[in-house]
Amino acid sequence: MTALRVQGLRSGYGKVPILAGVDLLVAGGEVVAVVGPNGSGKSTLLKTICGLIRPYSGQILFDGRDMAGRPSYHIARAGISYVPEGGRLFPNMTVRENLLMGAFATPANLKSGLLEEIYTLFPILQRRGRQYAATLSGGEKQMLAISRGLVSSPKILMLDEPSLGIAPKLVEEIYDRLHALKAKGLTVLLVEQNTNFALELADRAYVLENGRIVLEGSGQDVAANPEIKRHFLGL
Amino acid sequence: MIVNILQSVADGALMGCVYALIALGLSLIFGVLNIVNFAHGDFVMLSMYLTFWASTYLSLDAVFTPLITIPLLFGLGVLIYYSIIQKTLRERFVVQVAVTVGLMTFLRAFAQLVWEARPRALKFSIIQGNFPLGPFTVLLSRLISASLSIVAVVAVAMFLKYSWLGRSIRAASDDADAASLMGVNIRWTYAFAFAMGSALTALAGGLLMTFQQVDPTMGLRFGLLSWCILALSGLGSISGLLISGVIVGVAEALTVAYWEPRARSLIVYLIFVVILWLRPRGLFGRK
Ligand SMILES: Nc1ncnc2c1ncn2[C@@H]1O[C@H](COP(=O)(O)OP(=O)(O)OP(=O)(O)O)[C@@H](O)[C@H]1O
Ligand SMILES: [Mg+2]
Repeated sequence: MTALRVQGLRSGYGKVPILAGVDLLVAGGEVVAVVGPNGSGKSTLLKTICGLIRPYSGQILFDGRDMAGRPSYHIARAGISYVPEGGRLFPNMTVRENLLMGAFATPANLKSGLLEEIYTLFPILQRRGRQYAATLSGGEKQMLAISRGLVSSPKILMLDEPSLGIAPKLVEEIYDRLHALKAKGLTVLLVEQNTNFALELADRAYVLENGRIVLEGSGQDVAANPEIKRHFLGL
Repeated sequence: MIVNILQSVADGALMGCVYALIALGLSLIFGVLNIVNFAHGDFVMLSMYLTFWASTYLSLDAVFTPLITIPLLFGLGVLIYYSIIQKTLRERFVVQVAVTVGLMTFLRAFAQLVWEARPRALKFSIIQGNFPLGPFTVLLSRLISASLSIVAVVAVAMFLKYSWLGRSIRAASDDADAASLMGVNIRWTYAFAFAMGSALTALAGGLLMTFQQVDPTMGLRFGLLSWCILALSGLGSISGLLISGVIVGVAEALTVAYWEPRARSLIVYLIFVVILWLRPRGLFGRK
């Protein structure tokens, strides 16, 4: 079953085009990674899918409906959850309030014990519950951002560089939890510069360069591709 | 002497609570939409006239007129938001200023057209009158106005803190894009915050009318007062807003009693400038 199908997606900032026709597919229960060098358009791709940027043309088919050009709150309510680069938490709200905001469109989730489930995933968030999000450490912020994206029990979770600016040990911890979520059947579209971790997690991967998909394959295939190694892993 | 000073301080403090209510409306609009609304004081002026109108033509006591004027101002807020404010949100700062200054001028001209330049006052309100308290005189209308203002300010604070809608308003104020990713309809939320900020002036205007008169140029004074209180308190602290309201109210009352009634806006403006100079984030503000 296809969860998300992106076809011929072109978008950019104002008149500056970034994505030059991207095709991409995420099946239900699959983890798909998009890797590529700085400025290749990875964040732009996710921002366009979630509606923060309007595409110039192309289709974003989700559950059989075209989401292209719809407002972001609409897309969020349809079940696409986007965890932005850097987290974009609500700094003047507490950790708990940030999580409650995650369930803004799905308040019933709060009664069904989803919050407790998230606390078992990231226990630190429960201890920090009353603390303002602005005062969290970088790693805690990322954990909160991911958790906030999960409280709506989305049909697909889109992660933008979950390892950015975080100590290696915490990156390991976060990816460990992502593996656990994958095992539970969560559908994920992941964008990363940290290719090692991303490609190990992903079922399939795309390589984005200059706004175009230049390679696609299984996580291992892409990781083993000599071109890619030279490009991104500096080997 | 001491008794007189304390009397002025107490009068000013009660007045300051109503000012804090006005400033709360402005703080909502500024904090959430990030727009500098120069017309806020003229919403208060308009509310006072509407109170006058409702109590004169509908024979409603000023204490009850907010039941009519609050929905009216809320509706007006929604209308103004969708007709002019929304279009300016993405514009440069000068454009926003031009638009809200234009709105201010329009409201004043409208009031002059409808109610003429004559000041209007209520003939009667059930909360007029006063009673002695030791050596002091307590004006019942001011006491009740201050109490209702505090209740309203606290109620709004609780709404913002604990309700589902209030939380989404704070989220939109922190990061509108991130809030929209949670499924919050930002345009709608902005409209609500603007309308709610406007509706608060309806309550304040009604309360003010129980002990003072209104004229079409008053808006400027209330606008200045609320900007001064907001600058003093900073964004995000409700108790700070109340305290700042009281400080400004007391400063104003002392100026009127011991120097010159016409100098009161001067003093308020001085506080405003000094606080912006010394502490641009206010005394109680976040960040
Ligand atoms: N708000 C913006 N306005 C204009 N141009 C932008 C904006 N954001 C990004 N860009 C440009 O778009 C291009 C792609 O940026 P994008 O953020 O999608 O890259 P990325 O692949 O996510 O890079 P990184 O790995 O550094 O996060 C870059 O050239 C960038 O300068
Ligand atoms: Mg990026």
